[in-house]
Amino acid sequence: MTVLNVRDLHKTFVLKDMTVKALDGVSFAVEKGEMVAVIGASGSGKTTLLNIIGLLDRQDSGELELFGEIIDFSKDSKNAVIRNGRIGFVFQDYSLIANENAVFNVMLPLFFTKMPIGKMRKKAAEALQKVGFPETHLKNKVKLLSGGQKQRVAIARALVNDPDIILADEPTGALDSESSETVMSLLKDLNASGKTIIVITHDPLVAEKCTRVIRMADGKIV
Amino acid sequence: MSKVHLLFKIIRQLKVKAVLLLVITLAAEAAVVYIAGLYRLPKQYQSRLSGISKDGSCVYFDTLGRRADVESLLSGYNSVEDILYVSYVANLKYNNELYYLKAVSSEKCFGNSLKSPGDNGKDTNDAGDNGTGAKRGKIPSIVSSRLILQGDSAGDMIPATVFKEDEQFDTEFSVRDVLSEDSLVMNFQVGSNRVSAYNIFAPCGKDVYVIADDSLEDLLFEKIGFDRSVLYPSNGIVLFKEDSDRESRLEVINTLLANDIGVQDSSEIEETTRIVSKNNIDVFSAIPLLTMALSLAASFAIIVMSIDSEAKTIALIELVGCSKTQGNVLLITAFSVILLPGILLNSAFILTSVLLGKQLIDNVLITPESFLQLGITVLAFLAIITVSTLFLKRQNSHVQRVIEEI
Repeated sequence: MTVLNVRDLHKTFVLKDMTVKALDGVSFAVEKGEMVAVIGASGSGKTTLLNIIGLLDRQDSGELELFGEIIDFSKDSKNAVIRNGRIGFVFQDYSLIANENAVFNVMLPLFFTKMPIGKMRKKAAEALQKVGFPETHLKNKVKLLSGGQKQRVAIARALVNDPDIILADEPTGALDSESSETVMSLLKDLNASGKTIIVITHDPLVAEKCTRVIRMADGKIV
Repeated sequence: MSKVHLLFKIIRQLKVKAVLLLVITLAAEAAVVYIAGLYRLPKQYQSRLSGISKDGSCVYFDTLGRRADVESLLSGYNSVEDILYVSYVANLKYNNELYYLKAVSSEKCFGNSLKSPGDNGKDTNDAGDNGTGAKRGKIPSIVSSRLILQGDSAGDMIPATVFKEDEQFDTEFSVRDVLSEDSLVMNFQVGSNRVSAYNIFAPCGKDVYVIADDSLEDLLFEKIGFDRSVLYPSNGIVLFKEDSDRESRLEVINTLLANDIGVQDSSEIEETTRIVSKNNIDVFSAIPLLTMALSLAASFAIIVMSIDSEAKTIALIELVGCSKTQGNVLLITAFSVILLPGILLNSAFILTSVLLGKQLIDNVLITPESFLQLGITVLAFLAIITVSTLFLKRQNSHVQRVIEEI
């Protein structure tokens, strides 16, 4: 079953004095249960691609089909619901609220469901437990955690709503080799449990752990 | 419920900034209300004055300290429409407190402060029998503030004692109306050669005004035995008929001057009022204006800085399923909630002042119109919050950060 189908995506950024072609006719499809690495040098368009797939940004032209439905980027509320329930994000910079504790950060996606607060806390704690986050640190503020622990919190947040697809943008980029290893094995385990995972990376070692590799350069798949 | 929880989490994140914003916006709103009230008071005096002068159709007269029977003096002049004055008559005891009883020549002395329709005094069938009131069956009408007529209302009869030197006379008055203590009534407290509206009008305060009509004359002259001069004014205003010509008005003025009564033209009084108003505003507005400018500038700066920091949090929340609209609403609502206690406190202050009739605070007049100034200030804050939210949230979005990395 195809969960993602991108067709001839184009995206251009107009910066102060230049135009940057971030995506130049990108097309590919991802099947359910795949773990795909999108690899390329810095500026090759990987993150722009992930932002469009994650419904955070819109393409200039081309088509994005997600879960069998053509995405209409003018429908922000509808896309927010898809982002909330069916997509999980993991970022290199963790994208966590530093002054809040691990549980609250993991609870964030649940605030946009109709779940009671008590159940949200319970689900967040379960997600953190699933990614091996130490129970003693549950109420610690995120800014006091190590890089590896922060990334576990980010993965738990990506998981908490039981999404169909997880988009990871350089998930090991800010981690030491041991933590990188742990994070990648977590993602592998998630993939083994049926989640579709797309990892953006420039690290060939990370790409090696994926079932398929898509290479990008100058906004194109090569 | 979960959204409310999230909202308060966002507010709690602001901590010191939220407290600072609450205090500074509270001060800014109060300063705006204060400044508006400061400018409103002279306007009220000027409006009361222009309500009487009607395009200069009046003159102010001053007998220079003595009491003169101006009414008799001007009785033969057809150009005179009315003579407005206030005379101190006697001391009055009511509810065991002593007050000044002042006679007013006409209800026009109250301007538009009177709210109840008049009935020219109360008829009493047995007024002559019980020894109170006037023999014609009418009882003198009084007007005073809520400070004195507590619990009384228009139409009530109140017992009071009038003093004449060592003698006391128990009598009864009919309450014509109960004013707020800050209602401007004619008082003619003149202390300088140049008369302004501030000398002509004064807040009602704790004075008791009795309307000079037949029933009062009966009470004062026939029952108590006062001399007729007790009702003669030492200063006041001569109102001319609108259709009277310049010559006939000049005749009146010349008659007054010939009897050693000083006269000031209404245009002079208006000019003096303008000068006094300007001086009052200059004296009293400097510090509040500075406070207003600083607190408004600080409020705007803190709002923008706080939204900039919170926009990052909202950008993170948008990654996990919050729509852009929801993000905007969350941020705008969070900052509106922070402003709410300040708005409520200022509103409570205005409402209390108006309801309790304590609208005049130093040189500041608080009226229901003060809500308008408060509302405009709050709208300005909300506009800044909305514009900052729309602009800064975009600047702090995940996509924008990616673009900046390019």
